[in-house]
Amino acid sequence: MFRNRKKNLKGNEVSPGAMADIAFLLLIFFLVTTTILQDRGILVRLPPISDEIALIPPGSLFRIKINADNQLLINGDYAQIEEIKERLIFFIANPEGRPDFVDSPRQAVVSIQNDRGTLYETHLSVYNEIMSAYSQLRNDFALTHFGLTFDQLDFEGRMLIRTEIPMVISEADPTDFAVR
Amino acid sequence: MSRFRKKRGKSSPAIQTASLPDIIFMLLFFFMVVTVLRDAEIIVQVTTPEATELTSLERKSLVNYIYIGRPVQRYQHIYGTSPRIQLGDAIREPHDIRFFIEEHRLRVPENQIPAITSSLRVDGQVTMGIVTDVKTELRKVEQYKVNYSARPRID
Repeated sequence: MFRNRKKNLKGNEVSPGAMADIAFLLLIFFLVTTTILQDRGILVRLPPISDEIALIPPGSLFRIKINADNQLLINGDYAQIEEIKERLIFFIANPEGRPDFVDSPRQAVVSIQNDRGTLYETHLSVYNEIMSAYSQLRNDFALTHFGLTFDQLDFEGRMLIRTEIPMVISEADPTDFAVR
Repeated sequence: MSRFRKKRGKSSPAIQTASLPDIIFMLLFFFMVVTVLRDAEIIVQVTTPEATELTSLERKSLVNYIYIGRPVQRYQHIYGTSPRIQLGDAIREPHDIRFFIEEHRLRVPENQIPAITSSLRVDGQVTMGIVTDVKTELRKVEQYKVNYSARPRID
């Protein structure tokens, strides 16, 4: 009985080629259905909790306020999100040497204050505009001083630019005027 | 030496296709094992906002995810419709974040603890109140490295 079965198996062998095809099919199925979740986002460093109140001279502060209706004030006047980048670059680089703007990028502090009712989307796009203003400033600095883009520089070069143009973002405690 | 040669002489020069399924199966198992990593069932609806200044997160073992959004339809009778925080696969309150972070720290070698990143996957339509509460909790447990998860903007 046993022998018989063995013989039978030997007789009609499973062709390994077909097995490869099946395995391929499964493999392709898994390759297609699984999305390798690549998480991307804006990387930030939160400030430590402290009771100290940092005194910032008003001239070096770039104030952005967002209200519960997602409207912006930049240094006290009504503005759109798209204006932030240009105005921030102008504020930090200060090409005209305006006395009410910063003398050097090292002094600049960006302050964001939002309301508890502000949409996260608005907050993040404001953040994004600030990041993009800084990355443009750093890139310009790298191009004029090293002839390379910021990303092409080595670690030391990037650190040097980071100390030259530090990104200081202060997030004030949010206001709470939203109607709920 | 002579024995070795003998063996060589005997084998046929054609490539054996019998090992092909094994190789493919190995690949298959590799993919199956690697890709079933996402464990958390999504309870809250999260559509991350769009942004341009993106960095991608490198080491997944050093990343923990905090979801904030409105519960999906199926769970609305339990959790309501206002924005909630999801840690792991359950709805939690802001004060649970410290345990969540501590628990992650235990699973990571000590020298890599400062490299732990919290990825905030927050729905764009959520208001900042709950996000601020989460951020405050993270600062309390000295978890300063935070990633605001976002999608690339296509212009």
